[in-house]
Amino acid sequence: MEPAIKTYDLTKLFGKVIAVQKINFEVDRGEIFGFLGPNGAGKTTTIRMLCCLLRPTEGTAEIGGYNVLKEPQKVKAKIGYVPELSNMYTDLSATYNLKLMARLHDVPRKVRKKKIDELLEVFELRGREKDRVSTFSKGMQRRLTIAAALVHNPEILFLDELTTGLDVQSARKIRDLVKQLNSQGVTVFLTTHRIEEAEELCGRIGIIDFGKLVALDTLQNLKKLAGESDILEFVVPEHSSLLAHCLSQISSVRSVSFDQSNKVLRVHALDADSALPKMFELAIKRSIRIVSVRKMEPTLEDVFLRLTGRTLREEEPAHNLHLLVQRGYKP
Amino acid sequence: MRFETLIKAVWIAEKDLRQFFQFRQRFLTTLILPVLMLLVFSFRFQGLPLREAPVAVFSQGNSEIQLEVIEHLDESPALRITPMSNISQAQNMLSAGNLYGVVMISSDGVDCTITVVLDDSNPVLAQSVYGVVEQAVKDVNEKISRTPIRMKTNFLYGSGFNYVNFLVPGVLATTAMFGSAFQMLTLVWEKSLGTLERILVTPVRPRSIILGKTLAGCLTGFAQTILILLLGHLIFAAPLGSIHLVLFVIFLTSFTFTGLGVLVSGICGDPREATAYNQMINWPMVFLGGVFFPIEMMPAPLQYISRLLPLTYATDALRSIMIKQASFATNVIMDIVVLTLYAVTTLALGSKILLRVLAR
Repeated sequence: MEPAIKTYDLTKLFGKVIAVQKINFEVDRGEIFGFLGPNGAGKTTTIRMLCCLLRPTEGTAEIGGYNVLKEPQKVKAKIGYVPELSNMYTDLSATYNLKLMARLHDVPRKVRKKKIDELLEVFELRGREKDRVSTFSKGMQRRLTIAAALVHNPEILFLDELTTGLDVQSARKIRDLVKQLNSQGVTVFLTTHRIEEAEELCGRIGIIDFGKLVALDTLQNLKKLAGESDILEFVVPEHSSLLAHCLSQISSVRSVSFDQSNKVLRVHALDADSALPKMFELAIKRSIRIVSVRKMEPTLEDVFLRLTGRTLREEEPAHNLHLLVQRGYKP
Repeated sequence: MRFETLIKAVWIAEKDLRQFFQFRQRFLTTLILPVLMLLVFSFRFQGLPLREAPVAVFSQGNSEIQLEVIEHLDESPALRITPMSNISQAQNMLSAGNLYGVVMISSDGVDCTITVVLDDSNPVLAQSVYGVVEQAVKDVNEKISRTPIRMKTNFLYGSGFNYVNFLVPGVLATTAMFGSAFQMLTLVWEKSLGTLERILVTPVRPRSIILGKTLAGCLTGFAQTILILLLGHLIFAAPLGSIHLVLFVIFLTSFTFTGLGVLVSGICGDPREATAYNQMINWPMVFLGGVFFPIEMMPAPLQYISRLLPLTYATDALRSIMIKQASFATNVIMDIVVLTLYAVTTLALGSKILLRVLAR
């Protein structure tokens, strides 16, 4: 059986800017495949090319055995697409939105009503189905957007930044729905910049950065890419460039980065156990307070850092001391 | 008020002004409208409306007073007098718009009567012609010391100097234009809001999208215009003429402007840009398309522009049908042909551009 998705040197240029560069991968049927990368890495461009919404500059892709360039109508009949921003007709009712999608997807009239009722039930929109979508909460709008992508029972579901902007409960509910759909045989291709989402949902993960696919494997195998170094997390009262600099001077330390939101200095070091006393010694000598220290398992963030030299949160590159030091910054 | 509040207000205003001037089309649109209003209305109200208006004179007899009247009419720069002997030919020319009035002078030797035959499908023009003739007669009456000349008016269609009758067809054409064109702008809005993508990801062919949007554009323009038609007929007692033909022309007008809307939607990627283009095209048409006053009374260069605009033909067709009771076979056919050509050309061109945009 042919794979659900197969790309051949898929490339997209916007003018001179390379958004996606010769990407090759396969997604098997029944799989949840994740595309992980920071904002602007080329995830949405890839998903839009796979959904026939954007014409590749070079290369092509096959979805469910059909070519995106030659047979877009057949591709579209097989897929459901949930864009990053919910794009329902907010001045119309939920039922009408679903009805319109069902009609455009050639869902037979007899099945249509039953399917819409079922979707309203599953996505917990019952009771509000006649209301304008503009009166819905973000979570409800997101659920409706996913429901709209499922009216025609697609074989492959494309989800772009599925839970962006949602509260914890809504995000959890939506992730559960995706797992449920996958258990019913739907192949899922999702893009995310949320590590926990990729780790929770995806069987295999492709890591994309600056339009290039830098790694693709199962979560376990990817974590091995983080290298043999250990990870130490120092919780500090505030960001200390001095401590970061001192730690980075230790020969066994590979990199130091700072997580602003959690006030955590993340240190990659070879044989952390023997390096720890030295680290404490340095901190005491410079009178720098350390609240706590813990040794961590590598995460996808570490894999990404290892592969690209950057963190996934692009808004925090300034705290990535490892990079700053490389560029000649002296704390 | 705190100084900081003021400073921040200035920053916000500066931001708005930057956006305003960066968007050239909008800047132009805001200029075009007042300039046009000045141009058109100043000519209209500065007493320059009539110049060498073609008027036929039909005189029974050659009495002194008749000659006096003809001489006075001839002296007026507003009129270009053509003596005619065949009254029915003169009336036909009047009805076809080749003449603006027919002056019939009859005298039994003692009393002299002047009958002005006017095309009341164009009451503004008719009134102006009447005014010039009336002035000439007044001048003659002041000069002579005998029974004053009597004046009578005959209207071709019996509606008189009724401006509402003249206005309603123009307003109908304008309603169809704005209704359809604005509906088509939703395509650009949908592009920008992302809802178009929702449709594009279904197995719908782009052609269906354009066709569906065109249909909606035609129908909204048509429905809005029908409401105005009812209003005009029931409240202002505007004549209808052949209702089938009126409905057909309204639909054709909606279709024509939908075509123009498709073209604008194809060219513009941004809703603000599309709205600006739309205004830039449609508002001048309202002023130059003969909606509020006859194009015959505009300066010659503007008249040439008028004849290029589809709204001129839509207004003319509706006026002919509703006031002149014209049928399909008469001069309406020309208007219909021009409107159809406009519709087909803009729709074909717009669809071609849009298909390329949608397939991107």
